[in-house]
Amino acid sequence: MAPEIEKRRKKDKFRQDLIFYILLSITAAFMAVPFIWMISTSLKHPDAVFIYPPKWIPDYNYIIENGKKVTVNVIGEKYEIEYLEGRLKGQRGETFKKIMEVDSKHWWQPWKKKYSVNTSEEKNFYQWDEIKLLKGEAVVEIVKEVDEVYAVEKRTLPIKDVYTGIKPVWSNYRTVIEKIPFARFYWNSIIVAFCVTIGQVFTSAMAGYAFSRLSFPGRDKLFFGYLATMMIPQAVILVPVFILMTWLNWIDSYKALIVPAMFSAYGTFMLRQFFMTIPVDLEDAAKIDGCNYIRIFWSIILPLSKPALATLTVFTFMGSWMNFMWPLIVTNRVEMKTLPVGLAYFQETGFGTQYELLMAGAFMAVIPLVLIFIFTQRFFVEGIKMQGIKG
Amino acid sequence: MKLSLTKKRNEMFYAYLFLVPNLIGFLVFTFFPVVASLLLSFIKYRVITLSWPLDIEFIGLTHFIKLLGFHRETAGIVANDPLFWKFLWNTAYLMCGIPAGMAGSLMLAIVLNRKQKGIVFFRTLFFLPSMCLTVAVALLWVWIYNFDYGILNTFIRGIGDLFNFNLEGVHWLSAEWIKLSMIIACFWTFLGGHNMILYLAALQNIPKALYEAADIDGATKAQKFWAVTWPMISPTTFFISIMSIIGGFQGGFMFAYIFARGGPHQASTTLMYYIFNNFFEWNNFGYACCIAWFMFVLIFAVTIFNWRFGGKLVHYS
Repeated sequence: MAPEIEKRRKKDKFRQDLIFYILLSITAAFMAVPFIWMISTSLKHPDAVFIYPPKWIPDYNYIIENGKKVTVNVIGEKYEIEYLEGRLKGQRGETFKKIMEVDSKHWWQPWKKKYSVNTSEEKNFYQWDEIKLLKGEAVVEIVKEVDEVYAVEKRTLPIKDVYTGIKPVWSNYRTVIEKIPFARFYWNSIIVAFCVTIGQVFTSAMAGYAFSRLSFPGRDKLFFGYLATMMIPQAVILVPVFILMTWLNWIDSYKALIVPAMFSAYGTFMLRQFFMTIPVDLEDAAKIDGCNYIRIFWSIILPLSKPALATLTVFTFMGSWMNFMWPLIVTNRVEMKTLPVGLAYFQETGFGTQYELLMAGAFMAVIPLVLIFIFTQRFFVEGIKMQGIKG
Repeated sequence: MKLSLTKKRNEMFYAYLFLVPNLIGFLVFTFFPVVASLLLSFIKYRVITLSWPLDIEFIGLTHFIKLLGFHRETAGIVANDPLFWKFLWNTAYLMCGIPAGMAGSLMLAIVLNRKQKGIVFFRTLFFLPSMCLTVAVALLWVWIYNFDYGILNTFIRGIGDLFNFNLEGVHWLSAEWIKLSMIIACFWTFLGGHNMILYLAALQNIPKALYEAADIDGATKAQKFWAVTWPMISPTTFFISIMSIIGGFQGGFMFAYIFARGGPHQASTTLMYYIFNNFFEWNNFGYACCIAWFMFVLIFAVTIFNWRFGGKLVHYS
């Protein structure tokens, strides 16, 4: 009897597991599909992006090389189109102009680069849509003196014959880096997040120590003041701080991005709560040995509160990295924008319809932090749990 | 006696030394701005300039009357600033996504609360979107929502073909649908994030003995959930809902900005976006501060209300 029950239980467990995994896989697909869609789009040729139904792996990509000319014959009208810079240039839409002059020599040294935006050229940008008729209905005539691979004289080809191959278009990523100062945005974000994190953790730890261990007149009232401001939404202080930045002439500088974010009531509160849990005996012993407060803080309190410091570091860094509104407000010059604002700017300046480039940019913006996260998950999870228990 | 006094003075000196960097920052970037913001909402700039001396005029409660007041017209009673009420409604609409998001996170946490092979992989996968740069995620969703070539409409049309319906797809970023689109995108982004981890931690803290007792009483799975799990995680639910509501009032800016710059026809403009517009686009500093203070009061009131009445539903073991 007993083995039969055991068998049945095993069978039940197997069935449950199966249902569990199937359900989980469906949900996981729901989470993963957008990511795959992003990667897939970022590796498509511009003309493979706008096809219906969309293809995860397009069965064709352009292989005409730079500078080669093809004549496109579309519904009776002829356009001469030149393939350049990964895009087609047409006569009717004039040219597809770069909106930004980039010194491409220094693309890997963002701080050396100079950028300028020529707004007068932005309008031409959209005219590309008018000549973009290469969706299968178009017919192509290849001019003989230009193309050697398809040395067909004035033969009209269905457009599909020009597209061949399924190579991923890695150059999209390069194009993004060249068209916008992407590396510079990255650099800005890293500098800002780094300085904000160090500043905030340090000032919060110092103030937290003062609030938790040292007595001075008005301590509790002041601490209550800190607590009270934690409720106040950022929107309230946005305008006055912005005006302050203007007075100080800090707009478009790292100072404006870093300094206001370096002080946090929340961080102070969190670390103060943690310091309270550290036993006082250790400090008393140190005091008897003649340590001053700075020494106690540095070699007793800080080493003992590593988990809390790690949590605050991670959250401050993420907060600064993700912050959108404040950098949007205090930066006007392109080279001062941080990554989120830079991406929004990228979308704004006319690349909003070039999804292969947008997705390449988005992917590049996302991937380093994702990789870091995969290896440091533990900190995030522990940090969040700690928050939950406190709240 | 003298010794202890110097000792005390010594301690005070160090206390201020430790406090000073943070305190200066706190005063300059939090405390004074809060006061200044309140003052600004009673002030009007005659000339839009930031240079000293300021050319300002004290206008009393005019901004608040404009914001919250009503006046009589031939058609009936009309709000002084109908846009504000529209944006308040938009914000409230978007906050309807909060319960859905919480339910989703809870369900996911229950599913993931097992010791099974590969569970860590799934947890990581679900957590990833909330780790990504939100602007990048929003850009991705703009592409997903594309009417002609977006993956979502392709999917809908595919379903239509399967059952021989003629489904056209949805104009996701139109005035009619954009709020729902924002809710869906937010749902996807934050489903397996912060809240899910909190729920997971709460679920893991429930003593096994409670379930064993329920098993002995012959409780079904649903009964076990409502009688054991739900009360035991109620503090977490309470915490999450309070934080989400506070965040919800201030939220929606980033998605609205990337999706359609608050449009189309201001359908995705939230309170926060209205503040941003007043301040950044139209330079109405005073009015922006006024709205911000109204928002603060609203958040405060709702939070107090939650503590008073929501707190009673919470079961503390």
